[in-house]
This record gives sequence, C-alpha cells and structure tokens, in this order.
Amino acid sequence: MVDALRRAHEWLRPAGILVDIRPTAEPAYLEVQLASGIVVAGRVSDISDQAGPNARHARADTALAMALNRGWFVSERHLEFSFLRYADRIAEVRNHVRGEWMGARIDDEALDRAARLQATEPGARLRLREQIGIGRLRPVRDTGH
Amino acid sequence: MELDPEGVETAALAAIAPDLHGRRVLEVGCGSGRLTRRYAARAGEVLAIDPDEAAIATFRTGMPSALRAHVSTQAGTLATLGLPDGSFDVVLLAWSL
Repeated sequence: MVDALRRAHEWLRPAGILVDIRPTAEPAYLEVQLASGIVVAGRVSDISDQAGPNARHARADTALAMALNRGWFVSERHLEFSFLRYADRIAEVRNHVRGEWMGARIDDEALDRAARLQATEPGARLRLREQIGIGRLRPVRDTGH
Repeated sequence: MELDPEGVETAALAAIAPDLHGRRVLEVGCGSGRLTRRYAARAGEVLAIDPDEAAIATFRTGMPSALRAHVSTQAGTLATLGLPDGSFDVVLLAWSL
C-alpha cells in the first residue's frame, strides 16, 4: 500500500492531486428502509482480526499516515459520506457480501431480523450502508524516498 | 443490488476534485467502470486500470461511445504499470488503497 502511494507520488505532476476514495474502518450495516424510518438489522463483520474489509481499511489508513509522515503528500481536504446499496431480497444481500466483500460475513441472525422487518411492510427495502472517506492530497516535491 | 442511486459518491468526488476539465487522470481500481462512467465526461484523458482482467473486459464492452475517445483501460496494477514520472494531473485511488 505504501508502495502504491510512492508510485502515485512519482506519476503526479507537481500541481496534481491524489484522490483517495475508500471505505473507512467503520463496519458496514444492514438496514431496512421502512415508511416510518430506517431500522438497523445488524452489521457486516470481518471473519477474523486480520482478514476482512475492516482490517484492510485500517491498514490503508496506516499506509496513508506513513506517506504523510514521509512528506510525500499534504492532506488538503477530507469528506465522509454514506454509500448505500439497495436490495429487494435477502438473498441479494447475502450473495453480495459473500461474493464482493472478501473476508466479510453477515450473521444469519441479522439477515433473519431484516427479513422479519421487511415482511412487516410492502415495499420495504433492504440496504447496506457503508461509510466512505474521500480525501484530496497534494504531492510534495524534493523530499526523497 | 442498486448502488448509490442518490449519486452521493459522484457529488463527493465533484466536491473534492471540482476541476477535472482537460485533466489527465489515472484511475486505479476501476473495476468494470462504475465510477469512471460517472466522472469521465468531465475529465480530459482517463487511463483506468484494474488487476481484474474480466472486469476490464466488461468495462471495455459496455463503455458508452461518448467515453471511448478519451478513456483507455488496462489490466494491471500500479506495480506492473510502467509510466513516466509526472504523467498525470490526478491519480484517483478508487476503493483500491
């Protein structure tokens, strides 16, 4: 990860910018969107302390901190937002997490809770909410690597 | 699944990088081009890379004709890509760090 940042630093023009967009280390949540509001059914967890999206995102934070400490970049701006994925069926959610989120799992209990909530109201939708950070960094020259 | 129908991600990118007009962009981790499609029309030239060759193939096949003139794709990573220093105005790490 640090090597990727070093290369990005090299390939940027002096007045260029690095934009880093990725999930924060905060877990993603399974929610049900009802007419009365949003209800949290559970969260997406790493399968272990070392393997999973939350651990991966924490390592990315560490790599970025190293790049800043080495003087390759200065941080100019950072925002966070919620990225939402909507589904109509529990199977879609389960398959998405299994297929797309390496090292992640979602408890059957959370899926069951979501299914029960969804069944209470026609048109209720399922959604995965993930917290995303996006940062703008400016390369600093003549620091050496 | 339906991803970000509200376009929050696109709005955040526009807030962080408001001036992409005419800029040369390297997007790292483009996948099948979900995010690229949302901003590339505002950029100058885009090189979009991803290690997943199947995703790159999907991106190429489904790329809107309006983007073909200024978006190129390549299967690979930052480690395998040989590029001269100082080549890009923007390096976008798209969910890839």
